[in-house]
Amino acid sequence: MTELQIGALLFAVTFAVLFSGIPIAFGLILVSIGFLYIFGDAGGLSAIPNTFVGELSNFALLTIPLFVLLGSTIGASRAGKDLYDSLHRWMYRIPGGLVIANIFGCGVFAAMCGSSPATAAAIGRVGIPEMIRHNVPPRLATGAIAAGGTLGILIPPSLTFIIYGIVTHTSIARLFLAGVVPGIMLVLIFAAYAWASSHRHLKNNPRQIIESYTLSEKMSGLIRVLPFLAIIISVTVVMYGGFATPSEVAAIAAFLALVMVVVVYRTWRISELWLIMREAVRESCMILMIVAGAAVYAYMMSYLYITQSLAEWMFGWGLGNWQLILILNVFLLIAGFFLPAVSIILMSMPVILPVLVNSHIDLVWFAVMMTINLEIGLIHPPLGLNLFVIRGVAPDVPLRDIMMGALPFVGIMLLFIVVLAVFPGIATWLPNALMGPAT
Amino acid sequence: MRFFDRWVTRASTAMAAVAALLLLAATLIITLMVVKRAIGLQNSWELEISIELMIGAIFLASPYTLATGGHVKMDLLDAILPARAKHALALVALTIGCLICLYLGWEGLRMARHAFVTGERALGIWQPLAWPKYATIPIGMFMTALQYASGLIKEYDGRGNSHNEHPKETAA
Repeated sequence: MTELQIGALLFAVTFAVLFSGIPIAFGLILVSIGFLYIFGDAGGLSAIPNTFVGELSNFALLTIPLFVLLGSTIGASRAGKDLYDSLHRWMYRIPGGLVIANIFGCGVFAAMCGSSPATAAAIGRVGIPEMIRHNVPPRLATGAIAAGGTLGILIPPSLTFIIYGIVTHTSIARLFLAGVVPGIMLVLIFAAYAWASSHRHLKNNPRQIIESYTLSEKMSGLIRVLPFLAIIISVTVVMYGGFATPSEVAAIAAFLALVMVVVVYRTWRISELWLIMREAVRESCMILMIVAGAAVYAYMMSYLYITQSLAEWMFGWGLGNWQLILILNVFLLIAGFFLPAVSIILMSMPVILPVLVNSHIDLVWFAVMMTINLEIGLIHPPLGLNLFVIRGVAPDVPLRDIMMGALPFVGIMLLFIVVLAVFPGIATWLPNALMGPAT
Repeated sequence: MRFFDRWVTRASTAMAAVAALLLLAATLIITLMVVKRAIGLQNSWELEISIELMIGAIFLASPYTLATGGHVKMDLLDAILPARAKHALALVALTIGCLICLYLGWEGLRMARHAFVTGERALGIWQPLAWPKYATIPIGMFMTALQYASGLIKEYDGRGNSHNEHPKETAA
């Protein structure tokens, strides 16, 4: 068999194994062992254990569990509720302000914790019942939070960017900065759409709920959330200033967040801290096992010369950059429907990276486009993790309504990818302005 | 069998608690490293030990992650297959998962033994002994295999996830 034929067989077998319900990390190892056994030799097989453990012996990878700890600390606290309450109290007079407060809440919370499901759960838990109580259509209420939650992997700190940065050796600080402007723009576009939809509905179906808040009520929630925002802003400055590496920044942020939840929210009981730490080790283990499994998979592909052959085959198409970007975007979009973001990056980048480099495509710009594609996967069946998270926090809204509510946001994100493809500066302007052009 | 289930669950939870402490320790050590550097002191052992702690935490947390449905998987076929096929697929998936964990555990044991016998040290300034890091691999992966075995027994007895009308949604 030629390397390309082996590659095609590998693609089919990988999907068959992963669809069978074996955890992705173990499935990748199984496929790697199988292919090395059949098409490789004893030398190839013997390197698997060292590749598996060696991949984890990387200080940069510590960024992942530490940012996960930061996210689970903030996610487990009442910071999401406080953030939501304070935004609501400041914006309740604006027509449709409630929906806008929810979307902004998602954007800010995403910046604090870096996790899409955690953002959707934290803001959705308080925001969805409140929006429905104020007569916002359930489809819009749930769809807005599901979509708003996806911003967690775009607005820094983003686990997706961290993993992409490690795999492609791109500056994580530069990637984080590249996510800022597109993230803010998506927040504003989501808010505008949600406001327009809710405003029209509320105009036709008015329901008067008299609300009024004093200045101290408006400030109370904000004061509790501000320390967390201060942590994020200060560590961001430290990282972009080059004073510390992303792993160091993540450790300091996680440590300070833990101190804050103890001080601000009196979360000091062992049982409460166990909930935070339990989530952190669980999610870290899941991600890093996939990282290690994908390293074995990438090693197997390279050992069998599949990576190189696939890349050469793609060069042979003679595609222009626009055609290549289109094909890669479609591939990432479809892959995002079936696979979690971490797996897609780890499995596809060894093949895609040489093609991108050879075509002189900006890796930072591509990372942002890829991330928005992967965001769509979070609110699109069959995987659609955020849809299920929302279902969990709003059990009275049928899953079908949540999916239908998220659909317009999928359209918005697709359009935004097109805009981003035409205007790369949306992603690259801020990192270039603050850190200088990429070398 | 109930005793075995309970024992495996308790051991997995205890190992997750140790993993949590290791992660917390890594967090504090890296924070200390940055503070020391900021006041002009030299860093020596902090970087390497934090990597060792992370690796230990990952492997020790693996059985608990499996027990709580944390190891992400794509159970699309699960949603469309008839009950008997679903049961058969679950048995196959659990068996394969168990075998992979046994393989990783066995290889980890070999690495730990080799590192212990040869006195292998990690690369870096401090150069800690490598065997404690490697030793967490067989501990974690063999316990994950036991967790799989527990799942297999449940599935065989008709108490597994494939028998639930609404199986737990898997995180991604």
